[in-house]
Amino acid sequence: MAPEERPFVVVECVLCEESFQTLSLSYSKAANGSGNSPIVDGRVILTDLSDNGHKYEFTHYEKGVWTCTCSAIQGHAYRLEVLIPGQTPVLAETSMPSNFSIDYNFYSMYSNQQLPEKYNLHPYAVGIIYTVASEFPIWVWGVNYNPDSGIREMAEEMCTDYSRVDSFNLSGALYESLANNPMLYFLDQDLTGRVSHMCYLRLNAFSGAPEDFLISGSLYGDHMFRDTPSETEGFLIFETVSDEYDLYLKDALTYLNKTTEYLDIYRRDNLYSNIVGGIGVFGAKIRRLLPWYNPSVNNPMNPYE
Amino acid sequence: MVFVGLSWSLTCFSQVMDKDTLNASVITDVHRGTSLSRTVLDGETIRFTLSPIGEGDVVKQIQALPGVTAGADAFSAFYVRGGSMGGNLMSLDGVPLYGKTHLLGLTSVFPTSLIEKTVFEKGGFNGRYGNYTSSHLNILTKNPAKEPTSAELTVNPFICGADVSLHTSHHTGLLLSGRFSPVSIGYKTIRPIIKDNVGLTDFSAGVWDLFAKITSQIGEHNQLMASVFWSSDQYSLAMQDETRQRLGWNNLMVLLMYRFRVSPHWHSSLSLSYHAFDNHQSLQDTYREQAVALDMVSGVGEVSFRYDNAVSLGRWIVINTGLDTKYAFFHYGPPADRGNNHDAFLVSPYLDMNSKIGSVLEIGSSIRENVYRNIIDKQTKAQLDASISLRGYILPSFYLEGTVDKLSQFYHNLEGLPIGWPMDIYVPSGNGMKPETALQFSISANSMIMNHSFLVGGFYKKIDNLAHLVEAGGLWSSAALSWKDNVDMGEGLSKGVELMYSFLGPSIQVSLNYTLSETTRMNFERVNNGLPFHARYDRTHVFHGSVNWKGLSATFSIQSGHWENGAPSTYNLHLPDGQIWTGEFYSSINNYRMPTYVRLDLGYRFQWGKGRMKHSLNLGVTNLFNRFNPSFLFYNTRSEKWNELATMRILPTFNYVLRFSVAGLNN
Repeated sequence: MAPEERPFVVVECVLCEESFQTLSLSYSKAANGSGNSPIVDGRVILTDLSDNGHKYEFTHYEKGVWTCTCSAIQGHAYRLEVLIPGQTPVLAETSMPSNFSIDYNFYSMYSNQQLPEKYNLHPYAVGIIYTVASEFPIWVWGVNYNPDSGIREMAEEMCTDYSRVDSFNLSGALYESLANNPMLYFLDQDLTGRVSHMCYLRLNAFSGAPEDFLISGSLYGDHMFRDTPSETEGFLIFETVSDEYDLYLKDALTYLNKTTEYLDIYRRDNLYSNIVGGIGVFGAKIRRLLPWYNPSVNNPMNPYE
Repeated sequence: MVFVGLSWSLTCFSQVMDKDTLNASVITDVHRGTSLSRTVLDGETIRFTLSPIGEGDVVKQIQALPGVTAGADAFSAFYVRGGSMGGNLMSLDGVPLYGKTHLLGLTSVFPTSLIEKTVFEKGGFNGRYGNYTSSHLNILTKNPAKEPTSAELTVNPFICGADVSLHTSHHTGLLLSGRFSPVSIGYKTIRPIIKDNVGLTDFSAGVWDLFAKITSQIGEHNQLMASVFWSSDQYSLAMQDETRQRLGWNNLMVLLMYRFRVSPHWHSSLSLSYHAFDNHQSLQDTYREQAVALDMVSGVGEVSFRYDNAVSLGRWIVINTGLDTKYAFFHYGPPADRGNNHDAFLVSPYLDMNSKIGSVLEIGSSIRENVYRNIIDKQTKAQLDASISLRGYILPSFYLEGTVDKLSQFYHNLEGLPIGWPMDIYVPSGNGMKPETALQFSISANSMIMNHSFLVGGFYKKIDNLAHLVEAGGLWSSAALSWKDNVDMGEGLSKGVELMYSFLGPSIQVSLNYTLSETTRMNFERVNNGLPFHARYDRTHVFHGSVNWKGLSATFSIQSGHWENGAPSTYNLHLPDGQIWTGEFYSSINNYRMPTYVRLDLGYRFQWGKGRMKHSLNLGVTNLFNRFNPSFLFYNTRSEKWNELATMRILPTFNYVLRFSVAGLNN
């Protein structure tokens, strides 16, 4: 049941503020088995449309991975051109997010800070409260360091009380705080009974006043770094993403989460793509790493220990 | 006996017939007259045509016409000039019939033994009937007041039936008919001795229909007619893997009609009818160790009142006028969901004028103003339908014909439902669903030389507001906010060339039909990213040929395969956490063309008996090559693979008819 189709050019590139950019370029595997190979020849040109059309060129690194030494600038618009011999040009555009703020505060009976109003029922509570404001969607997930495997692993459940969290990936499981110190009130107890999300939290964009919220989930192990996490610490990742990358991520995760449902056998929807002449995504992101707090493993008196 | 209809005569009373006096053998096709847009078939011709169930079927004949593509092999779906299946109106004595098939679609629902004639139109429409965008198949039943008192018994492996025509007085006649399908009994009988290759553990089918009609002549020119048609199809299927499917549908139609003469040149009729159609489908399965239970019902009921007039103005002009009113109610969705009920009202006055200018030009024109209201949505629409047809005779045996039609349809038949067998789910236009409209042009050249008839023509058709079911889930789940969320609206475009040749000799009849066409769907916002894609039954080439010679008949068909959703391209998908998944990419929906369809059927018809008793036996073999013509793909939840399913391999058939006539047979 293989249509006579040629392989398609697959482009994946998500610009970031780092000093170099990477891009994955390959042929899809056509239903008749052809394709399925990295693309190593051609030209890949990145144009900063907000900087008088300044051009950067990617060079092939290895196995279809291309790199370019440049940093994406917040608020700038970019165009990507992929020119492959014998193929029609592949084009895409995106813009770097801007105008966002992400912050956090650790509260304890010793921190001498006043809790935000919506949590002030517990003046001596312990935990982290996050604050965010962004005109672009934000994706949040957590990673734990697994000392047995020696690698970081993604937390499977995430939960928040953020009012604009997207419910597209609810897991059905209810969050249950692991707090067990009768002398203290841990802020994550406010999440008890809320439905968890599968792996990711997607926070909708808004341009109003920053909102305070909690995050917890299946997080464990060492964490609570001050500046940069050590090799054996877990953390939360906040990514503010361009609209194109946001659509792509949401579509991809919806697809992945639904593939076990019977009626989805009959789905014929393609994942979102903003690649003209190919498939994949050209997007942009700004990443921040933040600590999290778990009363079951943290020392409430001094969580940084 | 073969009748040929002349297309310009459109009144309800003045159908002009030419009678062919050839002795029919096993008729596989018919000399259809001289129009690509209109075909008239008489009941006998239909009945003794080869078909998979043994007895002839009007839809099988329609499927062989130029401009028509068939659905899955052996089934009754047909698509006319790129339209949707729901764009075809089938009516019984003028009353729309929404449940069109018996035996999972193997044959049409109405007994052919009761058919006087059928009129099939695909262009140059009159305004009397409306609410369709593709074609109109009008089945006209026999008038028992004009039939001799007789009884008939029909037996074939799929349907057995009996009908009685009683001429109770000089002016009154009664027609009664009943049929049932013995397939369930047959299955249970042969099951112990047949090898089961598909894991079937239980199968039952309850299929029957009843028809009664009484006509009474009142005075010399007036007639009262009442009829009832009731049919039911119920199926249950269980497999070894504990999968169980149930589905079924029912029709109930009641018609009361009074025809009367106002003056020698003015005939009128009043009719009141009710038709209800409902269907249901349920599936119990296991997929990846999870129980799957799906259940859905749908139905449409319609009360109609109409008033029709036919007025002859001299010898060359006929005017038809009338008013067609309908009140319809719909329901659909999971059985527990009572929120998906809609009522609609449709009022349609119409005017037809058919004129003949000498012997060189015939003009047919019609307008029909439709005023539609969806009562639940509180939405009112006015839509004008119009048609014009011109026929110019260059020579007495050669003419050119052109038609233009603008049509609208206020009920949508949801297609695209992929679970199990397709269902006919009728939903009304309303908020978010505009009426389907079509604009069609056709032109043809027609000639007849001796007994040879040649027709060549072309058509162009544009359809707007086609409904497409994007996701099946919404219909099966009462949790869905609205079933409309799963329906997308788009456009259709079709163009093609139609060829027809026929030869009608004293002992041999030949018919060759060919269609070259392209049908696309486009601008569905949520389907295929709005890009064009193949209509499922966009068959580029369709050829049908048939030969009848002294009782022996053969039909041959070769067609481009239809389109299914083939396997996708795959590619690596990187998630933010570094995981790599395999994504799927469909360059289009309906991206895979199924294998070319080829089928040869052979048959022979025996007739014997004298006087009041006559016997007729059709023997035939369907799909003589035993070719695997896949009808569709189905998903095996155990192997998690798509499989091609062919429904009709080589199949011997027979159909036996015993006819007893009190007054002696008249044919």
